Formats: sequence, C-alpha cells, structure tokens
Amino acid sequence: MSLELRGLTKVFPDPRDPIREVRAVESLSLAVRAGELVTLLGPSGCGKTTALRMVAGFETPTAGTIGIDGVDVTGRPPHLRDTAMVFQSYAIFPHLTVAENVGFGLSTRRVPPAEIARRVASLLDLVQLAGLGGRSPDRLSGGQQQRVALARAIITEPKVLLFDEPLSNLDAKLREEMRDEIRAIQRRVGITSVYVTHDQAEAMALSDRIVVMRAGRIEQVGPPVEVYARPATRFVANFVGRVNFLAAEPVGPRAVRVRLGPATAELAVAESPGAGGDPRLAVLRPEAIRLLPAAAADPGQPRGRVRRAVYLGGVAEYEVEIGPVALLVSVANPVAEGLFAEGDAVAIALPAHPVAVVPAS
Amino acid sequence: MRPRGRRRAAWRADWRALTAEPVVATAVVLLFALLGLFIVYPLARVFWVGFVPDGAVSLRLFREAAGNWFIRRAFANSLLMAGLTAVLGVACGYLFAYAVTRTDMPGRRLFEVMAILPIISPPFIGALSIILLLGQNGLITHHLLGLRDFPIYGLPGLLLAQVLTFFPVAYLTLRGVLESISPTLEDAAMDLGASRWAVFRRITLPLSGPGLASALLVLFIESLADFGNPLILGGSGFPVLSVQVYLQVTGMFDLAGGAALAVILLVPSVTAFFVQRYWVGRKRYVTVTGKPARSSLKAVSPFARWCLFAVASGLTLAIAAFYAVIVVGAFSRTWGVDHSPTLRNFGYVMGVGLGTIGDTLLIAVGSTPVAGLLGMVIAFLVVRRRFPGRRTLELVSILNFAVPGTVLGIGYILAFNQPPLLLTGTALILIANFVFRYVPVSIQSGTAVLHQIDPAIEEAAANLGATTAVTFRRITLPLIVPAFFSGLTFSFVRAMTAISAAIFLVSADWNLMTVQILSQTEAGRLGAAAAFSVILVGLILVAIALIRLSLGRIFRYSYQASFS
Repeated sequence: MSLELRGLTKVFPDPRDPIREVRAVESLSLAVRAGELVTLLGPSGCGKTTALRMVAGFETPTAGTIGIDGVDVTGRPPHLRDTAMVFQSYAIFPHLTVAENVGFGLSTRRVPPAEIARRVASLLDLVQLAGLGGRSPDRLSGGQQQRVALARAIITEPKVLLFDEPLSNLDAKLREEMRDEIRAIQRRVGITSVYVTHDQAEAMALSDRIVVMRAGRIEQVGPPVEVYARPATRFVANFVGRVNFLAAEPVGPRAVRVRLGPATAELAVAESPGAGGDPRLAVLRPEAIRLLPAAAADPGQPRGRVRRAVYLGGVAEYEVEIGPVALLVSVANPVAEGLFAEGDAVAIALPAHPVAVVPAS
Repeated sequence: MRPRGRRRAAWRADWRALTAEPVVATAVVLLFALLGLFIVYPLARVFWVGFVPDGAVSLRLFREAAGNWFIRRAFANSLLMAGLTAVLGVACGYLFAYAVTRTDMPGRRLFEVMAILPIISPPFIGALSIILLLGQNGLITHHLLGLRDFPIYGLPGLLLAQVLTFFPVAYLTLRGVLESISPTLEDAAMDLGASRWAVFRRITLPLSGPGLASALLVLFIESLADFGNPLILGGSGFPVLSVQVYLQVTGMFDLAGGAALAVILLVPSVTAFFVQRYWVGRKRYVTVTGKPARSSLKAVSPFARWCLFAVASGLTLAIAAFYAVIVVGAFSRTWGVDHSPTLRNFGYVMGVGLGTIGDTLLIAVGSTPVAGLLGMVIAFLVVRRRFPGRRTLELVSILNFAVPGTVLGIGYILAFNQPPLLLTGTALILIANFVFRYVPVSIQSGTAVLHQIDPAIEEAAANLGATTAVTFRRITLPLIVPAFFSGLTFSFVRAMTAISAAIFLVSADWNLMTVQILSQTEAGRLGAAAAFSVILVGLILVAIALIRLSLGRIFRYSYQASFS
C-alpha cells in the first residue's frame, strides 16, 4: 500500500452559523496502490478537495489517519510529508524564474546547485519546456504554467502526487491535450497519485480507479468502466455520464421488465435484481438505445415520437416521447444510421446486453 | 519608427478630442488654472525668493545655510530621524499587518481598530502623550520610577512618537500587500518541503518587497515633513529642518532664509516621492486571481504566532496608553502634581478656545466637499478623457504628497500676501491650502475605482446620447461614490488635524485647534492641551460616525479604504 486513508473525517464550523458544523468529509477510507492514479470525483462541496488537502497536510483531520508507505503522517505539517500538489491556480511563484520554480523543492532539500540545474533541465525537457528556464512566469501561457506546476511537483519524486482540479483554468481543447499529457507523464514516472475533479470525462480518461463522492462520503470505488457501466447507486449513474432511468420489475434471476408507454419490454441485467421489496431502476445509457424508422420496425417493438433532435456532427441526440416517458437517445455516426427530424415516428430498440439496476432511492 | 512624429500625432488627436467637447475643455482649462495658482505658484514663489534674494539670481542664502553648523546638523538630523522612523515604522507595520492577515489570533478586530486611531488624530498627539508619560512630571518617569531629569527630549523620544504616529500608515499599505499575496503560494512552498521560516524568507518577504519599499519611502516623506512632534520633543538639542524653516520665519522674521531652507527640505522629499512613484510603484506582483483561495493558516508556527501576538498587543497597548493619558490629563487638575478630577481644563478651553473650535469646524467643513468633488473630477478626466497635458495634470495634482507642509505654508504666505491675491489672514487661505493639500488622496481613490469600472458602461451612456457632463453626473459619480466619500472622510480628518502648513496661515481672526494645542503644550499648559485634544479627537470620531451612519445605510460599502 502506498497511501492509506482510514476513517478520515473533517468537520468545519459553519461559516454562516458558527455554532452549527459542516461535515465536509465523513469517515473516508481508501487505499491507493503504488503507482496508481485514483480520482476523487464529485460535485462541488462533496468534500473531495478537503480530503486532498488533508493528505497534503493543509487541513488537520478531525478524526482518522493518513498513512504513506505504512508510516502514519496524520500529525505532520505539509513540509515534513513527502507529498507534492499541483494547484488549481498553479501557484507559480511570480518572483522566481521558471527554472527557480521547478527547482524550488530540491533547494529546500539542500541539493547542490549543479545537481538542481541538471534535474531541472531534464524535467523541463519532460514537460516540453526546454529552453524556457530563464523566463519569468508571467510571460507563460496557461498551458505552460500548468507544465511548470507539474514539473515543480514531480522533481522531488514525492511519494504521493496530488492534483487539485489542475485543468479547470484551461480552455477545452488545451484541457484534453494536458489531460493526456498528465496521464502519460504520471505513467512514466510512476508516482502514486490522487486527482480531484468534478469533470467525469477527465476522471474517465485519467484514472486507474475512480472514487465517486457525495456529501463527504464515498458512493462507489472502481475502474472507469465499472463506474460507468455498473453504477452502484442512482447518484453515480446520474453523475457519471447521462442516463435514462426506467422503473424495473424483477421477472427472473437475471431479467427485469420495464414499461415504455403502452408497451413493456424485458431486459437482461448484470446482477440479480433482488426479489420484490425496494423499487428498482434500470440504467439505460443514451448510446445503448437504437432508433429505427417506425415503418421498418417489428410490430411488437415500442414506438415513440421524436420531440427534440440535436445534430452535433459526430453524434445526434434525440429526445423521444413514448407516452408519459421521455427517453434520451444518442446515435453515433448519424448520417450513416439515418437522421430523424422533430415529429418523426420512430421505433425503439432496447439493448440486448445486460444493463445495470440501481435502488430507486 | 518615428516616435517624435507619432507623439505629435497623438498630441494632435488629443487636442481634437478636447476641442470637440467644450465642457471637458472648459473643465481642463479651469483645473490647470486652479492647480497652477494654488500648487505651482506658491512653490515657484518659494524657489524665487530662495534663489533671487536681492533682485538677482544668487546662491547666497544656500551658501549661508551650508556654512551654518546648526542648519547642517538640522539637515542631518532630519535625514536620520526620517530614515530611522521609516525603518522602525515599516517593521512595526509589517509585523502588525502580518499578524492581522496571516493568523487567526484573538483580538484581531481590536488591533485593527486601534491602529486607525493615530491616523485620525493630530500627528503630534504622540508628543503630548510622551511628555505626560515620560516628561519631567511624567507618570512613568517621575511617579513610577522617581526619575527627575529623564532625557526624553531628543531623538529617542521623537522616534517613539513618530513610530507610533506613522506605523499605522505602513500597516494599512502592507495589509493590502499581504492580502494580495495568495496564501496558496505559501501552501505550495510548504508542500515542496520549505520550512515555515523558509516560506517567509523565500516567498512572503520577497513578494512583499515592492510594498515594503513603497511604505519605507512614504514614511520617510511623512516623517521628514512632520512638524509638531519635533517642535515639542526635539528641543534645541535636536534641531530638524522642518522646524527650523518655521523658526526662521516666525522667530527671526527671515522669510527669504526660510524659503531657502524650505528648498533644501524639498530635495529629499521630492526625490523620495519620484523614486516611489516611478520606480517602486511600478513593481508589483499580482498573485490573487479571481477565485478566492482557501488559506490553511499553517504557515505560522505556534511560537511565531505568540511572538506576533506580543508585538501587536504591545503596539496596541502603547496606543491605548497614549490616548488614555490624554483623556486623564484633560480631566486632571495639574498634571504631575494633583490628579484629582476636574472640568477646569474644559472650562478654560471653552473660555479661550470656543471661537477656535468653531473656526476649525467651519474650515474643515468648507474645504472637505470641495476637495472631494475636485478629486473625483480630476480622476475622471485623467482616467477617462484624453487631452493635452493629462499626465502633467495628474502629476501636479498629487505633487503635494511630496511637499512638506511647512514648505507649502511659506509658499502660501509668499504667494498670497499682496493684492490682487491678498488672502493672508482670511479663512479662504486655509481652505485653499487644505483643499489642494488633501486632494491627492481623493484623486488616488477615484482613479483606483475608475480603473476597475469597465469603460463600456460609460460608453453605453454616451451611446444612448448622454454628453460628458451628463455621463459624469448620472453614471460615473454614482459608481465612484464610495471613493468619493472615503476621500471626503480623509480630507475632513486631515483638515481637522493639520498643523505644519496651517501654522503659517492662521491669524487672529481664524485660528485652528491644532495650533492651540501646540501653543498650550509649548506654554506648559498640558491640561489645556489635553482637553483641546480630547475635544478634537471627539469631534472627528463623531463626524466619522455620522458619515458612516448616514451613508453606510444608503451605500453598502466598506470604509476601509478611507485612510490608506
């Protein structure tokens, strides 16, 4: 184990009403393996940044422990634990040059200047900033500042690398580019990393495992595919990607029945939906549903009408009305698959592969 | 590239813009006339009298001054005093600001409020308190320690008074500087393994550098120009230039010699001013971005926190003691002899000084709105309109920051003592002096706010058919109301507490409370001086409270900028 959080809890006084308290993180337990990149994913206020700041040592946990390589570091101040953070605002020191920024962590460890110069140069190479060492940071673009922040964090080869929404200040195109680069560099240097974001696409693209958080607690932990395809709760299904929920009634060990307007359909499910009791919802991703022209459909297939059609180039998105139900459908390669207009009558083909089922509440 | 040609083209474009708007043109011409008459002309008179003593250009007065060992000592003393006050005051101000912004120590609110007190008091109240506490009949020296002739007159006493008077100015500047340094930077440095001391030494201190340099120069200028404290505490053993200028004029009736000394005094002040404005003022690190950063307050160790708490409490206690002793002194029968409570001092003040209190209020109330409005108009024109001489206008209007009050006082006597500009002896000369002496603060707060207001808002008004005058009145003025009133408050406080220039300009008809306090102190009537001071500070506090109450309810904004 490289990083282990046990029962980590943080309680703040409520800023509006100091007598009340805010339970920002509630007994969070998580083990991150050596070299792994784990993302804390959740909406703002879910406690993910607070958890990260506790790992760095900027916040003192109310309860619980933080272990790095088997050593309890819970009580240590930030400069005495071997973590390095890439900040959302980059936190580049404005009075130091790029090279001085990158070498800062080494200079605090009293590494000889020649050695610092050598390692700074190789790090600047790694993040594709070779030759910019003498620059003042205010003459760098946002993406370049991001690279400086990354180089500065990894130069000391910390035991744990922490990312606090590092891409949120970049524009969309650059964000994707930097995302892939962070992933590649993290793989190459192999530093155990915790990454905080509210962007599910970023989490999917980067992570070995995703920790979905809600109101200070963990909702689900798993690899991106599992979190997306087998969400454990309604919240996870909804937060990670877009989704249709259909009320599901168990009809067998591996099957549920859903109602689509006047029609009903049976769906295979991944796990046993459980018998009776709590109401269940089937999780249908928009891209798992296919649309056919009503004329070409089998007589038994559910039918509906296109209420809204949005053509996005690579995909087309439809909102299909089936009696009281509205289904979100996303069609890839729409030109080849056939485009529908608003008002068109369509038939719906539900997925044949097993879908996920979550508790309704 | 042909810079000359381009500059001329730009000038011509400015000129065309000006002639296209008669209101702006009239305002600009009027402003230049006013600033020329009340700022440039008096200073020019000082130089004229100094350099042309006998109808011909001559350096005779300066040779005489340089040959006089007493004047040479006064000059050296002035620089020593100003240098030491700047260093000590900035050190205190920085520690105080660091304690308030970087820790969550108890009593921070109280510290912040107490640090404002010296700023809204006459600048020499410290000297009066020091005499009451540490003088011949001082509470501490004589009564507690039994000392007879404690040497409080001279540099140590003067430094104590000046540091306590001026450190709040440094504190206010540096608090802003520290608040603009994102705590995330300190977190980042600590995260990279820097110890708390290393974080301070390698991150916080260098980022405060430009602010510290600027505060040093501002305190140097203020201390150099300070008049009341050295007059009371310097004595003949520690002469300083600002006082010598005054004594030359009033003691020896030597206006020309006084003017020459004033020119000498101007040299270090103006040098410091230009260094501050054109070199230090340009260097700034902006590290706070839009999103508020969460601070962990981990950068201060528990021990350092206690040290900072001790410093802040010490300074606050000293200020509290200064004011407490004034209040006690005002209600004591005879200071140092009989401390039984009495209202006799107030009776005396009401007897001899009621007219002075009225004069002081009238002149302050008369000059304040003029300074406030003038400041906003100048700020608007300088920031938002292009016209030939825009930079000159701005420079001239804030030049008075650098001119010691005594120099300006001499200038006003020299400039306005004969027809057609016979103003000496009237209230008008005092009002004019205050308006043009304190307008720079209004201009600065106005420009700062205007730079933050998107010009598109005003462009929208113009686009909808409003003229420049209408735009200013209906759009700009309401938006800069906070700056306007903070400038107003500052001007009022300064007009109430001014001494160095005013002491040349008061007359039998129009006298000021500050001048009364000074002369009562010099005459040894400490009780009366203390009573005057209590009334003066009381009036200022009431006025500030009134302004806050009435306006704070209408416009929800912070007055914190009022005194910076």
